[in-house]
Amino acid sequence: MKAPMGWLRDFTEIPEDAHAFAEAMTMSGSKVEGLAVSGEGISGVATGRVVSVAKHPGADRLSVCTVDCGPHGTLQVVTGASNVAAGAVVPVALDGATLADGKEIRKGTLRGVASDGMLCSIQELGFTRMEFPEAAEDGIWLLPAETPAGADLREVLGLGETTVDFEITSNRPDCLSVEGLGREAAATFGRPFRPCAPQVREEDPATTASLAAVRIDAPDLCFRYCARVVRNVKVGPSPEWMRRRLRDAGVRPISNIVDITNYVMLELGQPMHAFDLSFLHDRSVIVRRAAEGERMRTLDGTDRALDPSMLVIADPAGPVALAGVMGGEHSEISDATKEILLESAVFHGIRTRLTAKAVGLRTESSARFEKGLDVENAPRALDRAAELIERLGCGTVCRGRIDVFPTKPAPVRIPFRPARIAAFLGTEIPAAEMERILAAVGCRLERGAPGDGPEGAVVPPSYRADLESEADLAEEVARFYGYNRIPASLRSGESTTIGGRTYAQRVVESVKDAMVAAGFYETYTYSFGSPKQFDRMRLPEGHPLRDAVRLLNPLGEDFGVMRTTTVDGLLGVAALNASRGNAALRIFEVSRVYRPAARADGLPDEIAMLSAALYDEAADPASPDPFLRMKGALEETALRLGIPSLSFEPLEDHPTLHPGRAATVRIGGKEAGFLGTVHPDVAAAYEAPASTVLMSVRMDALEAASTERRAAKALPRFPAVSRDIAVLVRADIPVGRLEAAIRDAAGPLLESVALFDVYQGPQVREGSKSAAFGLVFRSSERTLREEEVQAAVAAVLAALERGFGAELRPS
Amino acid sequence: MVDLRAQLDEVRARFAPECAHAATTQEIEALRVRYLGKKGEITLVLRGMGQLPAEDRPAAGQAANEAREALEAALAAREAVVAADERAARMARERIDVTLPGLRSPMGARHPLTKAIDEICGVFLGLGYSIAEGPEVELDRYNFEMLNTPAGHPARDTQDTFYVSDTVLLRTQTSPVQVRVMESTRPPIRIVCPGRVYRSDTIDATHSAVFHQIEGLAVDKGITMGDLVGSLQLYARRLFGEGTRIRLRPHHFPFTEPSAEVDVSCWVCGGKGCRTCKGEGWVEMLGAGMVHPKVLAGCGIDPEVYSGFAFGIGVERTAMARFGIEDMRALYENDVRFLVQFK
Ligand SMILES: [Zn+2]
Repeated sequence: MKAPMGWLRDFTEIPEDAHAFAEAMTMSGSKVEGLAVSGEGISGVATGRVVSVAKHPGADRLSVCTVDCGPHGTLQVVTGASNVAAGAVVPVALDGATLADGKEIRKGTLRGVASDGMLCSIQELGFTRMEFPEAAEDGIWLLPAETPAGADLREVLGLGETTVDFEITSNRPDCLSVEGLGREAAATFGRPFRPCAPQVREEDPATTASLAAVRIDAPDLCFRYCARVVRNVKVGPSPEWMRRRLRDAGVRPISNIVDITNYVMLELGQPMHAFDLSFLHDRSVIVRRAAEGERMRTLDGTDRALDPSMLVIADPAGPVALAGVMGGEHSEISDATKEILLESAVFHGIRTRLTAKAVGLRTESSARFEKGLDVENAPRALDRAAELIERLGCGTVCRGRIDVFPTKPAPVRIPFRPARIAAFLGTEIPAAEMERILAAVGCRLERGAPGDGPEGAVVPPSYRADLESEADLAEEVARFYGYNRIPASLRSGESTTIGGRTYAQRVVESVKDAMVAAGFYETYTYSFGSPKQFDRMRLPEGHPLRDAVRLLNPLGEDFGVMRTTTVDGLLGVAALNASRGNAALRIFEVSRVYRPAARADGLPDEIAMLSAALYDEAADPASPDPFLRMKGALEETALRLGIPSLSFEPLEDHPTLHPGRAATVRIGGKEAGFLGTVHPDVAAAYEAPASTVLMSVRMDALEAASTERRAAKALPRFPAVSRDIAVLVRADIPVGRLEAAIRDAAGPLLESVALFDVYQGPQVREGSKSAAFGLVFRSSERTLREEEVQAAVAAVLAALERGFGAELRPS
Repeated sequence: MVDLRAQLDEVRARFAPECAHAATTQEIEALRVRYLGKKGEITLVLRGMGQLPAEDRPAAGQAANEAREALEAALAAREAVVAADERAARMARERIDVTLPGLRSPMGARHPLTKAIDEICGVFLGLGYSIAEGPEVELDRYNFEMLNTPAGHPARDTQDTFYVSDTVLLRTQTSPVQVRVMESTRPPIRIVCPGRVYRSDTIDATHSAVFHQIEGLAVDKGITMGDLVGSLQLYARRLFGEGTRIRLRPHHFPFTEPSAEVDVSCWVCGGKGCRTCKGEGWVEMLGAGMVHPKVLAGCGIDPEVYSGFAFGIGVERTAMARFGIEDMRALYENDVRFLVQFK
């Protein structure tokens, strides 16, 4: 809402210093977005009367003008414009002038002819025809002929006004008006407020009621409809002072009647509409819902389809306006208009908003209606418009007004409990100060009505529908007392809470710690993506992960579905890093996937996953397989969570993973996720490195198996005995199964077993491999005897031979 | 007798230069064997003592012992010098280039958004707050209706919402978590709700369709707006430094009353005005207010008995301020060269 400071001064005294004013208004709740001074950039531009125009001797397209600039003398100015003739009054940039774009004008010579300055177009002065419709589109701005020569252009145009741009929150439609902001300013600076109180002379002897009729058929959508008839209308330009205010407030001046309706809307916040009464059938207005299939052409020339959710202003022949949004073309006032019906009505806020949205027409008018307007303001605004029509002499106002007001709203009464308000704010503001503040915003304090309580009740004014409860009164008190005078305290209530993270939240912290320690960087990826990701991930039709939560109104096709897996995001990050030449990457995230499910409340399952990806394109080929790097990170993470072991099984049918390089992760026998090298086709689809390894494990599975208990065991007192064994087995036997067999067979003295070498190559038979394990035996009660260890090793070897046909290799 | 002494003197005379020239511990050991060993020269001289008359033997024995001790002392002294030289030489050989690169097991890092969340939550965890979480795909009822924002409310316009169905949407704020907690828990309540939220904003340097908020909520008997001010002041000082001031400006949110926008004094210029604060000296950091009585009542908490405050902090904004990140998109791009800076 743009409010010129001069206009605000109609309602109260405000400080000269615009910055101080803006600061104080912001701190009392009317946030100032900016200050603008009209014509700020222009200096040294005067008006000049063209005395003569001659051809430039050396250039066909230039003219040499002699211009009378009053006290600045008679100047010779060369111009390229062709719309200048003797007698025209034009803006002249004098030597040393500055134009709107910052350009400085200097005396000079143009093609050999001296030029003392420059004649200016509207654009060069920083305006458009939006603000000054009468200016020439091309060429020099021709000012009204009666303009004196030699005057400062800023004075002539009424520039130099400071306009304050306020951000108005949706609960304060009353502040979408200069008067409302004036009231806020009065309360902010503790000055008297002078409300608008229009006086209409009603010089036309005919009564409005005899010339027009209004009926409301939809009282649920139209709360009040006031109207006046004006006759002997003379459409023409409005006076400069009104045009200037409209301009400063950002509204284009058009003609007196339209300008008056806009002026009143800006001043009092009440949108108005003027119908050419001669075009209204039966001179009557019906406020009703649109019929199914009904159409109308709005002022902007668009033919619009209506439906019964929309409110229209109609005459017996059909709709003449879309209520609160835009008038119809048919009854629009024109230069020929002689008789008008002025409408000042209040429509249903939300309904107006939905209609404006449905037809894609958000207007200054609908933006005000949608916030809910004051029913008491409508007749006053109508009278203000009538008063201005009389003052501008553009018509005669008929006697009386039509006022259809089906249901008067019951006034709100809020018990006044100043002690409670003070306590709620944590202050000791005295009751008298509260009363002063509440009165300044227009509230009445009443005492004695039943239910009012000992200190009475506050009756908010009709224009403050947002004041409903004590908390609302507390805000009014606080913002004029000063939010920043409220003393800070750290008590926050009467009782204490322990607080802290839940177990599940601590598990997340541990997981992040472990992954970071393993060299992984945490990422944040989008939780929605393209439905094409399912193809890129090679998920076949009907795969359960294709069943995704779909957005009705995504930002675009690429953001249409909520992810069912984190793979898409991770591969996207891998591809981005690879494309930027980052040779190695280790990333992880703990984030949610969304799976449509028949939850009782209709919401999808949101499952937290630990997911990771890594690749290393610069790795030494002899270094361990990156799959093992990822597996090790997961195993260390499990240990950090107190999970002693995970199990891994070959996973050959995951569509996204390499069938020979993937594993199902199990925790305590239950499937918890997967780990594996990405399938080459998937890597290609994402342009991610083919060596990328992915991992994804459910957080709930990790959490269920985790424990925070850590019990210290006494360190062993007896020495350990180590034995290394190496066996030759078929190459396809997983070492994990050998290790499990060793644990089973070795008996209770086995303390640990660890694979330390696997060899496949010329030193062993084709199709076999050698696997070497280090076994450690120990008793907690005594030093082991050699025979005991030998027996255990023999049992292990026998079991390996029996189970896998293993042969002992000398180690 | 004289003979024996002369022999000893002769041995000592030969020993002295040899000892002085011994350069290694091995050479010293060889001298020790040669002069003092079982077949050493001193020993050989002593053997001749048997032929001496009995009365000369004590004097001869003493002379021999003196000679032995002198040689031993000389050897020990020489040995100390040689050993020191040898150790010095060895240490010289052991010298390394300490500017060689260290052998590391590189750690990763938490994401800057996590770091911001950790810092903010840390302030409130220490004040007895718990962390509450809730669904991101949320019911309209929790995201809007119970937050005093019914269908058609103008405030819904400013939050361009992604819908899944008429009644299900992607939450536009973490406030629905507060509602869920208030609905299921009796006061006292002190929670912070960090989480992911969604708005259909076009993605650019300062906007993202996916972003993060942390909302805080305290509900109990006797909670005042002064308590809100104090809590936010503490938060601002912990995050932005002890000298940080805050400023509350009246604002409007449907679910708080009174409501405020909260500015933090600029951490770059301290309030004098600079590029970060666009010359204002203040940076808008969060929104806050006293929980609206309708919201309390809607959750079954009697606003005549209880009151509360709530605040919402933008995580991206905090992280960008804290780490000098200029483009929000960097947070979701995950270029490892960006991430490595947050170790
Ligand atoms: Zn600054």
